[in-house]
Amino acid sequence: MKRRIIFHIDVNSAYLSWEAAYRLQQGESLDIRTIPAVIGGDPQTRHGIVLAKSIPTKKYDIKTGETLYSALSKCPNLLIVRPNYLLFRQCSEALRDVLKEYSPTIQQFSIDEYFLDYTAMENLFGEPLQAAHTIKERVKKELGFTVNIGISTNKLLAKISSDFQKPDKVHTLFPEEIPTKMWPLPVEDLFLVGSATTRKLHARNIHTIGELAGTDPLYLRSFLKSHGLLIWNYAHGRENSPVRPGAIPIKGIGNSTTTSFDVEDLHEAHLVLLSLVETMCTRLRHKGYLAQLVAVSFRTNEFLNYSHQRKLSFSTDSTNEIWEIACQLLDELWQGQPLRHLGVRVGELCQNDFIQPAFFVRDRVKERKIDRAIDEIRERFGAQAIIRSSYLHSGLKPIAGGVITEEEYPMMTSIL
Amino acid sequence: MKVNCSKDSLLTGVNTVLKAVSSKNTLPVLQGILVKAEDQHLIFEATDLEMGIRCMVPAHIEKEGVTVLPARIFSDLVRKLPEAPIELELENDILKINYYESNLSLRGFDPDEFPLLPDLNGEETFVLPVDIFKNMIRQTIFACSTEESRPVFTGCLLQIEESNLRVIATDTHRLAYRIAEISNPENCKFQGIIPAKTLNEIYRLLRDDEENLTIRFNEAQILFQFGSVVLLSRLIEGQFPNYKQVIPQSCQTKLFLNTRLFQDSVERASLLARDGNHPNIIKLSVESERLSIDQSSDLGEISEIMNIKKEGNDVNIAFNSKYLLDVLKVIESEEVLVEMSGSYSPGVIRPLDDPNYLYLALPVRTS
Repeated sequence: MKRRIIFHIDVNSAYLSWEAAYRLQQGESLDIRTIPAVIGGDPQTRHGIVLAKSIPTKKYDIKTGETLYSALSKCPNLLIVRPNYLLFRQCSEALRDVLKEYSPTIQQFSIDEYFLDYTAMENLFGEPLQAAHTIKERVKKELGFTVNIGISTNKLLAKISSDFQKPDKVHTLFPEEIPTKMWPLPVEDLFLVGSATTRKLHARNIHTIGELAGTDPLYLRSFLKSHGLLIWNYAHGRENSPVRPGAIPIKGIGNSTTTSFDVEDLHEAHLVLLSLVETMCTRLRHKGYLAQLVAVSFRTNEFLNYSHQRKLSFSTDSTNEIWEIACQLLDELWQGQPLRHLGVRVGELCQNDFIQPAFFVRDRVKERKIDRAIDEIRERFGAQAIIRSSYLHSGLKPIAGGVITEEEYPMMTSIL
Repeated sequence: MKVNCSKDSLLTGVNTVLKAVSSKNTLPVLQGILVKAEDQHLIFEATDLEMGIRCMVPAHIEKEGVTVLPARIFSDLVRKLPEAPIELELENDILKINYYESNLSLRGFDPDEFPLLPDLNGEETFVLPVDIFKNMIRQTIFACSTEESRPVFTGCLLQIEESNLRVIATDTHRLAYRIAEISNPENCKFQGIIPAKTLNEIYRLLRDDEENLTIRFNEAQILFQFGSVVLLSRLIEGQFPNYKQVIPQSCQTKLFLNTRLFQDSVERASLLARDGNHPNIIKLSVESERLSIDQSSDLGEISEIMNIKKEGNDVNIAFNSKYLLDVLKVIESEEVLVEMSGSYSPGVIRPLDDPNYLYLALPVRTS
């Protein structure tokens, strides 16, 4: 079989370049990529964390993920821009539209990353390297932001090579280039080697991907279990998942929020849960799933985390029903500690084409209809168009969490 | 305490009460088995405060006494003891077990902390026919719910009313109902929800040749006495729903099926329904005198056809196959009668030759 050609297209500091491109398009003269600027949080209240940063922030040692408060203390004249998720999704979709012209098989891997299967496309758009340059230049010219493109024979290697040197570059990492291009890299640059795995590998004197590749896989398994074998294969560049055009099947849907004050009152806690369940169940119904497991979690003001879950004997997508279960779980778990963070999650999803009814319980037919109607109203007129009266004068948000309500916002995943 | 007995009597005692030992780490003493030497008997007791079991075995008692031994290690040791005369000797809170020239010793809990099992003496008493009651348990208990959030469904409703004895169990998706005629000259009346765990133990401990099963009960507890065993259980609080209202009084379709053939068909089809998003859902369609179960998944396809006797309308209906298999397994009659009224009403299954048993399952609604 002919060897596959996979592209990995990665937008360079995506949130920031998208915001910058948007501002330039709107007629602003300042390119925020050229000054110390970060995307994230709320510039007024200075709450939140750094989601993306411009190159000039490097000399202030500002890290992605650090709090705005600490970033501001390092660089007092830092520009903070609130993330505009709708814009990000539009940019991501615009990129997809360009990529679609080059292959029928593309996979969105996150908001700013795509895989593209270029196998057998040479006759149309030329050699892979040439095609990648064409795509890169087109995106820069038409969409106003830069991308890195990694080319290889599988998704893993393509992803690693797009990370080599930034910005605005095309790299290759073919299997024969692994020893020279990939093995000298630090082991934490490998996909799915996170901080915990890195710590364990470092403790055993494994510092580069090459050293990992040269380690006995059984030895790796002895302390990393099956994950050890996976990253050992990855270190050899072995990975063969297809470029999946569809979405990756969802295993669970969750929602959580950090409250602006410590919640100490049961009624308030229930309302916060409801505001989370509202968004979560809308997404659940939108995806056509029913949940068979409900879990709640919270973090106390002492930063202790608790969680509690229940398997249901039935499956449901009803906001009220899931909320009632979430409240029961919270009541069982919570001992009245002040709470700063509340979360709710549903799992063990199944498709909603079959429903097992029950005797002796309230028939939820009417509630299901109400749920559908509310979903529709919110979709057409906005999430705040209809809210529950229990939130009036409560000072709480009637709908909480989630990035965008109407449609799924692509998030990071560990499944290639 | 000083006792001589056989390994067998120890083992009988321990095995009988073991299931009542608390599995949760609430009170340490509840993880123990009370052993009491009294009146030429060894008495074993265990309880998790929901259910308590007491069992008496004959032994030669030289000196009376009582101790509570950690259940796990004690039962494991008893199982491994040799088939030899065994001597138990309690000194302070240490129990010495002597066999041949060997011996071992176990540290016990303070028996004063062990909760007393009330005898419910003076409460109302009734005698149940053993074989009928055992069968009633078997034919209903599987329909109990295992979900703790709705406790009333985790047990069977036991009703004694005039000459009727009824056991009903439901998990809200299916319901099993068994009635038996008994003699009740004193017109005893009882109604209570007995935890499934209790009934399971009774089923396990009741020997078929047991003559009498005596029950004694009050508002909150029920006591079962048979042979040398006494089992006390809490009754589940709450109102059992009005099961009568969900039993359909009429039907539009009647199927007469061979129990075993139907069971085999469903079993085969359910194997292919295992995959995918809806494990266990199988679709039945009845067209004139044929019942077919067609199932397909990523694993493969199956098309089961049965020639049947039918009265009434054709029907297409989907069930969780577990709900069908559970009941077919406990029906001994050669033929079953399946009654249905369209795709959304409960299906009723009963043995053709036994009007005393009835089972209903709600179909799965397809969108």
